[in-house]
Formats: sequence, structure tokens, C-alpha cells
Amino acid sequence: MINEGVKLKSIKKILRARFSRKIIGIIIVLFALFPVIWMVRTSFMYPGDALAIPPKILFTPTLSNYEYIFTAYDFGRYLFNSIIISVGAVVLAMVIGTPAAYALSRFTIKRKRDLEMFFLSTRMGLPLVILIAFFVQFRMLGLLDTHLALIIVYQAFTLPLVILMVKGFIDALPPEIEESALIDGCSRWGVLSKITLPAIAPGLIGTAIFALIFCYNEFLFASILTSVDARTAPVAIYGLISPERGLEWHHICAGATLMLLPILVLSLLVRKYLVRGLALGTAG
Amino acid sequence: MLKTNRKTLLCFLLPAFFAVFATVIWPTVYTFYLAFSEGTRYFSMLIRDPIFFVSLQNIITFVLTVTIAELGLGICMATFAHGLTARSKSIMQTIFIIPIIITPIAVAAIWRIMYHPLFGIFNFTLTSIGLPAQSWLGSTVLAMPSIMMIDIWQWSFFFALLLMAGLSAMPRETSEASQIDGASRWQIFRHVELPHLKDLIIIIVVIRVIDACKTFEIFWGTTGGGPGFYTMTLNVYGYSQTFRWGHVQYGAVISLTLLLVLIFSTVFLLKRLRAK
Repeated sequence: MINEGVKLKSIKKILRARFSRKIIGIIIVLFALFPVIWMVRTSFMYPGDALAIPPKILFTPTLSNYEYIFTAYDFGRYLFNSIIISVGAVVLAMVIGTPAAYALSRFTIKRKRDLEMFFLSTRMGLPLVILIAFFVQFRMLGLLDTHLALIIVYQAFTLPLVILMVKGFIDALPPEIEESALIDGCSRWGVLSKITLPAIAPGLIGTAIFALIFCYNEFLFASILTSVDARTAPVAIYGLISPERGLEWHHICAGATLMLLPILVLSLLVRKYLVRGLALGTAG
Repeated sequence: MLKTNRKTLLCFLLPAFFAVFATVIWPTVYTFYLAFSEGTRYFSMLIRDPIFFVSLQNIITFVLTVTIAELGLGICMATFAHGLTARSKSIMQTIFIIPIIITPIAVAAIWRIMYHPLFGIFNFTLTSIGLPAQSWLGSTVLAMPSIMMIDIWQWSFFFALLLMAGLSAMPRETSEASQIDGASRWQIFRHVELPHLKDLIIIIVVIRVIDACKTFEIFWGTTGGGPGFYTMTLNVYGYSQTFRWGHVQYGAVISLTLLLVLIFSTVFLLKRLRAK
């Protein structure tokens, strides 16, 4: 009888543990997703429903908000600008940064430590400081409101990130194959392109998408360095918050959801490398 | 490692070196020039500016509070997720990524809507259980904590994700051995897992402190520094002075102050935490 009593107690304990574990899990998931779900939900609502108090659980969904931001607000063009600029910035950073990462990883250089520190310390570059300088100079050069301006400026934070992450991937690669190729007479460029890059290809993709997310979501530089031609999606969303427009929540949520979609898909595809990228990006 | 041809070396490194110099170093120097081209005039303006001191205090409070809160929440969520089945862990990982990848200005907009005094979800919840509605972003007392909450929401998961990865990289034998020896969950965490994660935590904290100093969108998109100047930070203030009110050189000085704060905090943190 004592045995049965003990069994019952431990079963209860396990059930309670499993139960509270599920509860905590649900709380955490709700905490993470509640604002996002709310945002997506509102994007499909009519303005009256969106502002309704108490909040409506059942409502007639509509695509009119998406229609509006594409037609009356030209959001498609702003989204396009965001994509062009972020892809351009990332491509440039990868082209410049990958050889540098390779050099930092594989070459024997005098004062290499100092060089690494140099690239790392740029993380402390303050966007506002850089923005003020670029604003004044670009204004003089007539480069304001161009895609190129942002692609250049975005190198400030994208390039160090790329170098750091790609170097991490190269460091993790055993150098033997490269070294035997070098001994056989292959050039450094050859080794890089034919051996190293294919070997770290998944890491490169992860790095690129990681960098892409930052450029795509960027607001500070875009808000000042663009106005009409090169305006990006985040700036456009901010434009919907302005007081003159009133409570256009349904439109704001539509724009935000639209921005999130491609990034979400990309992130899920490379989830493995994103987390690894986060880890490498922060490891010093 | 084999010896490197000088030309190749330059070819590999020079473009990146030049790009970093041109986009980070040179602009910083130029902003210095803008700030001090007329001597210390703007600097003396700065130390007589009450809003400057409010902004300085606000950013320091903000950075300290959010970093500690995010670290705490991140550790809790990471240890919880770490104890789940592989499939649940993977689902959690996916969910944790989502707040981080939403553009911050949209995050600001969404939370601003939720904080709305009349139509927002928070006040609706309060009033339905009989509590008074609050002016989350309009009250001088609540505005800053409300904005802090936005940052905590978005970035706790950053800590959680990285710490989850750190925990996964830990050898399981030690924690399992302690569990057999009868240690409680909390004891296992404190004496087995935490020391292992210490280095990772230091790095994440430094990164987060640097990024927290740079926070802009959640202030700009919600209150723009208001009510009055209660949520004004150095970043928003420098931006406003330069681009809203046209005082470029004064804004430059303010921005450099923030740069100083950033550098000091990083160096200080690294020294203190590395020594531990």
C-alpha cells in the first residue's frame, strides 16, 4: 500500500510538472507573438473593426488595406527600393568583405591582432555621428535621395558584420586542403574561389541574409538620406504614423505585415545559420 | 600558414580597409570637425543645456534597465526552452526569431497602437477588470517604462536565442550527474550551467549595451522625446537638433557625447566583466 501511495504522488508530481511546463511555454509563446498576431490581424480589418472596442474576434476580413497602400500610397515602390538597396549593400559588403575575412583568417600578417581590433571597433561607430557627416557631405555632392547613397552608407555597419561572420566560418574550416592546393601552385584567389567559398557556402548564405535583414529594416539613415526617389519601406511606414493622417492603424499594419513576410520566409529557410550567425556575430 | 605575397595581401584587405575607413572613421572625424570648427562654442552651450542632461540621464537609465531585464528574461526563457524536447525546442527557436526581425519603426507603431488611451488593447484590458485606464505614452511617469517595455519585448529573445545555443553547446554529463546526485533545477543552473555561460553572457551584454545606446526608432515612433522631454535620449535629441531644428553643429556635439558614453560603457564593461 505504501508503494502505491508513493507511485500516486510521483505521478501527480510528473503531471503537475508537465502541466506547468505547458503553461509556461504557452505564456512565453504568447508574449513573443501577441503583438505580431495583433498586427497581422489588424492588417486584414476594415478601419471600423480595427478601432473597435471591445476588440473584435470575428470580423469580415478584407484586402482593401493592402490595395490602398499599393495604389494610393505607392508602397510597392518603397518596398522595391528597400529590396534594391539592401541587396545592393549586402552584395557589395560580401564582395569586399569575404576576401578580407579570408586574409584575416589565413594570412600571416604583421600586427594582425591590431587589424582585427580595427575592424571590430567599428561596431562602436555611432550611426548618428556617421549620418550627420554623410548628410552634410552628400548634400554638397547632390547625392541625397539616391539608392547609391544608402548602399555606400550601409557599408558602415554591414561590412564589419560580414567580415566578422565570414571569418568565423573560415576559421572553422580545416586549412589542409587549401594548403595542399597552394603547394601545388594554386593562387590565393584560386584557393578562395574554388575551395574555401564552396566549402562555406551555407555560412555565406546565412551571413548574407543576416546582413540583409539589418539593411532592409534600417530606418535612421534612410529617413534622412532619402525623400522621394529612394524612399524605403520603413520610412514609408513612419509616414503613415504622422499626426495629420489620424489613426490609420489598418494601413500601418498592412505595410508592416508586408515588410515582414519576405524576411520571415528567408529567416525560416536559414534558421540554422541565423542562430549560428547571431552567435558568431556576437563572438568577438 | 604559408607566406603571403604582398600584392595579394593588399588586394584582399585594402578594399575593406578603405571602405571601413571611408564609412566609419572619416565621417566620425568630419562630425568632430563640424562640432568644433567654431571652437568650444557649442560645447559650452551643451553644458548649459538642461535638456542635454535629461537626455543623458534617460539614455543611461534606459540602457541599464533594458539590458538587465533582457538578460534576466533571456536566461529564464533559454533555460526553459533548453529543457524541452528537440521538436519543441526547434519551434521555440523559430518563434524567438520573429520579434527580432520586425523593423523597429513598425514595432514602435504597433506598440503605440496598443498603448492608445482609448482604443488600445492594454487600457481595454485594464478597464474591463475595473482598473483605471492609463496614459501609457502621455504620462511623464509611465512613458519611459512603456518604451522600455517595447525594447525588452523585442530583444529579450535575442538573449534567449543565443543562450539557448550556448546551453546546447554545453556537455550534458555534468548537469545530468548533478541531477542524479539530487540537485534541484535551480542549483544545477547556478553552479553548473551559469559558469559555463559566463563568457557568452559577457559578450552578449556588451553587444546589447552598445546597441541599446543606439536605440532610436522606438523613441522616435512613439513619443519623439515627449511628453515634454521626459523620453528624450541623446540619440533622439541629437537627431532632432540636427534634422528637425536645423542646428547641425549643435547636433554634432550632442552626437559625439553619445559616442563618448558608448565608448566608456564598453571599455568599462569589458574591464569589469573580464576581470571577474
